[in-house]
Amino acid sequence: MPLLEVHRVSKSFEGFRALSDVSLAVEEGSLHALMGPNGAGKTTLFNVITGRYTLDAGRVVFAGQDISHTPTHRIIHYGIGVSFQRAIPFPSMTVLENVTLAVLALDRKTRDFARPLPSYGDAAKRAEEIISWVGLSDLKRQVTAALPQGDLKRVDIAIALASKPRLLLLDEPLAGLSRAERAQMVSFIRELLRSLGTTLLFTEHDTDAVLQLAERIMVMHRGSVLAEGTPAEIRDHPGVQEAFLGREA
Amino acid sequence: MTLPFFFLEFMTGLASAASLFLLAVGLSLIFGALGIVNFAHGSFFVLGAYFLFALTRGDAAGFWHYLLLAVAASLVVGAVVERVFMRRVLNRAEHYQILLTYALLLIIEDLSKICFGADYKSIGMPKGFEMPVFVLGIPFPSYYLGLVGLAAAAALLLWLFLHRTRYGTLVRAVTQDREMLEALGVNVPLLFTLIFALGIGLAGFGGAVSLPLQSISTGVAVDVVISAFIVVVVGGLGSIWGTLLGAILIGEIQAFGALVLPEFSIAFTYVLMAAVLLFRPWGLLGRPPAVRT
Amino acid sequence: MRTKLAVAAAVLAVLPWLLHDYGMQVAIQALVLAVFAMSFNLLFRNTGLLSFGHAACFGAAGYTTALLVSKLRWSFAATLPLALVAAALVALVVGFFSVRLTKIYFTMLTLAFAQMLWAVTHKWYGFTGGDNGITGLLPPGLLGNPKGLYYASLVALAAVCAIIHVIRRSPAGYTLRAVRDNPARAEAIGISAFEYMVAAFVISGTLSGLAGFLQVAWQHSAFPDLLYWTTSAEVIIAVILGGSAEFFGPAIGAAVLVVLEAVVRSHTQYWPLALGIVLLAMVLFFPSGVVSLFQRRQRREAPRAAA
Repeated sequence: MPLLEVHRVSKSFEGFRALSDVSLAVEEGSLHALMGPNGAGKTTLFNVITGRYTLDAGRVVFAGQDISHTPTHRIIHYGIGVSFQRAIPFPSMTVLENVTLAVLALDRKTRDFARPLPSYGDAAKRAEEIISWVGLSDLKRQVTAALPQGDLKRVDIAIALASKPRLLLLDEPLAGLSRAERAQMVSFIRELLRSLGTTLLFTEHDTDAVLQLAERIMVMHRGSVLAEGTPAEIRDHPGVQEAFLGREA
Repeated sequence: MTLPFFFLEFMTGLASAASLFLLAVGLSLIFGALGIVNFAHGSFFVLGAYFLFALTRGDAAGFWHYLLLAVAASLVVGAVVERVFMRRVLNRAEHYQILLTYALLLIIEDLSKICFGADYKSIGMPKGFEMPVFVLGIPFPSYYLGLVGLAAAAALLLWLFLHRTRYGTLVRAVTQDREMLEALGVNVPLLFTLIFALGIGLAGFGGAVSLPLQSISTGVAVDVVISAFIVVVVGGLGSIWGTLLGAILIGEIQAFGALVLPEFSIAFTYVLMAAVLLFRPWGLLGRPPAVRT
Repeated sequence: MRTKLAVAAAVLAVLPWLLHDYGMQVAIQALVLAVFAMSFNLLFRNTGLLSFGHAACFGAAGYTTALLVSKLRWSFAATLPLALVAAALVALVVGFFSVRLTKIYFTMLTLAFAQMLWAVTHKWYGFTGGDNGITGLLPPGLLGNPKGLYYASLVALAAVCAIIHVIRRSPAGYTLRAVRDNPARAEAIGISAFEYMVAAFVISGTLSGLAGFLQVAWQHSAFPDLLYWTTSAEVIIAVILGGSAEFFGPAIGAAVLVVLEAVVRSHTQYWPLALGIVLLAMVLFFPSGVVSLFQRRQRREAPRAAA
């Protein structure tokens, strides 16, 4: 049984059909990409899975549990980590505070109005460990508002990892990064998730990055699934070539 | 409750609705375009009434021709206030906009006290409306009908302006997409001055034509602006027809509420406002936000 | 910071021995508004929600005290717990319905609720005395004596500051700021924003009730004005005037506002005009509040001192 199963999902906005009859299965341990030009429905599908949008028809099942109508804040506790497009963590806090808060949120310890946050030693220790995974240990006392875009992405991924996810969902993890930063981010995500064994589903419109990082790819076009397969299959798929690869190459 | 009595109560409600509409439509227009909630809006309504009173010296004989002058003065005040103050807070956090307009409320209140005195001002029925009309045998102030007519005419003219003129099209467009208009080379700051002056002009007009019905003093602005908020929130911030609907609803609720439970008729209007905000925060005729994210 | 705080506390502690009757009245009023402003800012600063309905909590507590004292002959101090409960209940109802809305809609709904309470209080002559209010509430003992009331208010202010400080550093305090900074991100770490915002509203409203209680003790009466929207406006002015981003900004803003009013009123009847001009100047020229004015000067002077 796949870890995440999207079954015949549709979603419209004021008559505009953003998703029609989309299905997707993500196997545990795989690196899975959603690809397509802007407006193809990637982010809409992403937001349907994460519970930000309600869906009109279909089902989303995670680890055997129907999460079609579950709000975002509950999905996180099932073992899904999320990083949205244009990642901005909580700008008024330091990197360590950002990640510590996410750790405490997972443990449902944020309802405490009395004990100081820094006194939660275990949570801070766990947060420091996660921060070291994303390579930001030197910056952990920095207020995030002052960090450059590439570091912000890493902070946001660290926050997502604090949810101890079985499935990590990243929306456009490379958007806003320079060419050099992109290459770095691709290898960083690959190494990190290999060592953690976390399943990944991400959206990206940069074809090269997708072909480098993903093990399986689903290509979307105008709200529908155009093709699905391994990077090699996608590269050779005639419809895909016609729709984008030809244009980009 | 007999039928004629019911009808007269309804007409009284409609007359206050006319006054409320003129008061609130500018507030709605300004919020729609500039995104500013104007806490001084009631003050400009009161100021319009003061202008008329000062010009006529309280004598109803000069009502009609001085009315135009009072409205012109309100338009000028609106334009100046927009140029000098409003444009400096357009892109600022909402609480600065509220504080700035609240400051204007305080300043206008005291300045009008200095200029016009703190006592209540009123004026007789204007020329042509001195005699009551008889509705089903009961005398009824004919000016109530005149006020409804004036408000209806203002609503119609405003609609024609917004939908049938080039400037009106721009006003509607700027409510929806300011950047687009700027990209097209439209002088948006000038447009904002125009809209603000128009909104204040309408409020001043409303205050002036309401003077024969309700006497006015400097302190009433804080009550008046809350009525305007209720009307636009119920109708939908930024919607002209919504403002009209809101004004009629509030006018009638006040008229009939005073019959049913005289002590708590004001409370009814707040209950309506809260109910609308809870179930349709964008108002009865307002546009819901495109996508909730 | 710590020495500044110690100096301020020492000055506030000896102040009653330096002031005459009128000065004491001004000082107490400043402390009461400071309690209110600090409480209001707990919500505004940490959640970004601009409530125009805090007069409801302030007035609900004030009227609870006034009614219990005048109708049931309770002793003044004994009404405090129920006054706080009343403020908390009002805050719970208003907050529960309002925090779902954003920006101006939140502000308008809180305004509507507070005005509803005002309208009923204003007209319900049989119970609240309507616009005649409830008068002649001279508290016995400590609260009835200016020095006693001053110190009670000072202790209340200290307690409110301590509570706010503790909340700010707690996980819940961080959670509130997370929701303010980026609500979608907060949801996506597993936080249900709604309950935290309601909790913040209730705490802020309850502490505002403490100010309402003190206000009634100070003015020996309760009037519908306690609930009117201009009371909510006054606390917002105090908060922004002092600077909502500074911890003690609201308290300092409250003191500046009350002292300024006392000074201006002793010279002219046109206090609203003066306040309007001050607000205009603040919005246009020093939007971060009076506290930041001093800090900016310090910062500007600091490098010169180093050079």
